[in-house]
Amino acid sequence: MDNSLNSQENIIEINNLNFSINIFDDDENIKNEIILKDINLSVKKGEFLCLIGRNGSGKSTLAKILNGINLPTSGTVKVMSISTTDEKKIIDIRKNLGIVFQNPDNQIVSSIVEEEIAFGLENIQVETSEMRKRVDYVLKYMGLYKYKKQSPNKLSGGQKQKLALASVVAMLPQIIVLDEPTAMLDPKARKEFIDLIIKLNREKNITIILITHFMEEVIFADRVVLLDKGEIKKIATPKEIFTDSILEKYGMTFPFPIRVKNKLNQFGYNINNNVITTDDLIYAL
Amino acid sequence: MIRDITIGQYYNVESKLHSLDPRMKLNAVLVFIISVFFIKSYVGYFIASLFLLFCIKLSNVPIRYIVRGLKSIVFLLFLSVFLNLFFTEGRVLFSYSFFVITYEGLDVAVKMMLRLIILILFSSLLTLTTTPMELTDGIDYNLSFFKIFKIPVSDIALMMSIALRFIPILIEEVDKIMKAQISRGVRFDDKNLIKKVKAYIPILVPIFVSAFRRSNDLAIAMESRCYIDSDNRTKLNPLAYKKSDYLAYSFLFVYLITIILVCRL
Ligand SMILES: Nc1ncnc2c1ncn2[C@@H]1O[C@H](COP(=O)(O)OP(=O)(O)OP(=O)(O)O)[C@@H](O)[C@H]1O
Ligand SMILES: [Mg+2]
Repeated sequence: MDNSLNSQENIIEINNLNFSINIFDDDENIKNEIILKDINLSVKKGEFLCLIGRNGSGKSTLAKILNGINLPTSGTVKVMSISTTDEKKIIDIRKNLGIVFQNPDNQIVSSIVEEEIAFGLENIQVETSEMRKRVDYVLKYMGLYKYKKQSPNKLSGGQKQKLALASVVAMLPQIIVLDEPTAMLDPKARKEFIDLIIKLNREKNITIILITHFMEEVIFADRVVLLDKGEIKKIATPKEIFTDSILEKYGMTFPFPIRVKNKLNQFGYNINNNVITTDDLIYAL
Repeated sequence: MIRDITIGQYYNVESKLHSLDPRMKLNAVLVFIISVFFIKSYVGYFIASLFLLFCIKLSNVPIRYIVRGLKSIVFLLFLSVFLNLFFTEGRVLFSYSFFVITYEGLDVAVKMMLRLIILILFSSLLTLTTTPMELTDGIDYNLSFFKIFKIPVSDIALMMSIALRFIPILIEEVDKIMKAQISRGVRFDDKNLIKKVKAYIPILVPIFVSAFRRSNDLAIAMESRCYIDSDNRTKLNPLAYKKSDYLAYSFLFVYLITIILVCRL
C-alpha cells in the first residue's frame, strides 16, 4: 500500500454520489427511496471533518458507503485512490478506513479485551509476534492495558467505546470514521473520548470523520459538513457555521457559549463573532 | 451484577489442571470415556476411580463442588440401578414376594452406577477447569480435521464465542424488560401455567427484535474490520503445548495401558 500520500492529495474523493434503496411503502408496493443525493466531497489527509445533520439525514449511510458496506447507486467513491466498488481491493480500503459505531456493545466481538483488539489483525493475517507488539502498544496508548485479560462486559460504557476505538487504531488506519461514538457516554467520558480522537488526529496525523449531534464536539473540526435529507447543505469551518443561521434552519442548536453570545448581543452587547469556546466567551466578557 | 455471571460452571482457581492445554483436556476426556466403557472388572473401576481422584486432587476444586454435578443425574442413576437390580435374571440372592434380586443383577447395577458416576465426575472436571472460551478454542483445533468434510468448524467456533459474549447482554436485557413489566403489574410467578406463558410473550418479542438488530450491527462491524471467513486467520494467542501437557499425555498413556492390561486379565 502506498502510504506516502502527499498531504495536498485527497485521501477521500466522492463524486456525484447517489444512493437509493428499495423499500415497501405503506401499501406494500416497492418504492425507490433516495437516501443520498448528489454528494460531492473530498477530504484531505490529516483533516478533522465533522458530519452533522438531523436524524435520518443519511449520515450513517454515508459512513457505510465510505468502506464499501453500502455501494453507490451512481457516482464514485474513492478512498486512497481505490474505488469502493473494486471488490479485490475492498480489504485495502477497510484496513485503512476504520469505523467506530454508536453502540459499543454491538461491535465488540470477543470476550477478552486483548483479543478484541486483535480481531481485525487476525482477519488480515498479521503474524502472532507482530500482533502481540501492536496489541500491547495500543492497549497502553489508549489506557486499557490493565484490563487486557478482562471481559469487555465488565468495562464501563466509556471504556467499551475506547476499546472499540482501540481495535480500529490497532489496524494502523489512515482514516477513522466515528458514527456518534459519544452518544451513549456521560459528559466526562465524552470529553475523554473526544480528547483521544484529537490526540490521534494530531499525533498520528490520522484523518478523522466525526459524525455527531453534539455541537460542542464540532468546535474541534477543520471543516463541518451539514447534511439534510441526503443532501449536503453546507461545507464550512466551525466558525462560519456558528455565525450562520443555517444551523437552526436544519434543526440543530448552537453550542452553549455561542447561544450565550447571541443572547447577549441581542441585549445590546457587542461580542465579536470569533467567540466559539467557553474560554473565548469568558475572555471576551 | 448480572453481567458477572459465569456461563458453564468454570471454577476460578489456579491449578495444574487449569493450566493444561484445552486440547489435551478434551482428548483426555475422550480417552477416559472410551476406557471406562471397556472396563469389566472391579479392579478396572478401582483404577479408573484412582485416576479420577488424582485428577480431582490436581484440580484444586473442592470435592463438594464437584459432587454437586451429580445432582442432575440422580434420577437417571436411580432408574438404571432399579432396572438392573430387579430385572436381571440369574442366581437368586434375595427374594420377597415378587421382588427378586439376583447376584448378576446386583453386579450389573453396581457397575452401571460406578460407570455413570465416574463419567459424570470426570467430564464435569473438564468444564470446571476450562473456561468456555478455552473450550471453544480447543474444539476449533481438535475438530479441524472435520474441515475436509466441508464442515465449517472455525465458523462454528466463532459463533460459539460470539454467543458467549452476547448471552450476558441478552440476559441483562431480559431482566430490564421483566422489571419494567413487573412494575406495570404483570406477574411472572402466577400459578396458572397459561397466564405465566402469556406473561412471557411481551418479553420474548422485544428480545428477538433486539437480538436481530444487534446481530445485524455486529455483522456490519465485523465486515468493517476486514472479516471474510474464519479459516484464513492468524491468532493472537495460538494454542501451544507445554511441557506439562506432554507430561499429562504420558500419564494418560500409562493409565490407558494399565486399564488394557487389567481388562485382559
Ligand atoms: N436498511 C435500511 N432500510 C430502510 N431504510 C433505511 C435503511 N438504511 C437507512 N435507511 C433510511 O435512510 C435514511 C438515512 O438513515 P441514516 O441512518 O443514514 O441517518 P442518520 O443521519 O445516521 O440518522 P441518525 O442521526 O438517526 O443516526 C433514513 O430515512 C432511514 O430510514
Ligand atoms: Mg446514524
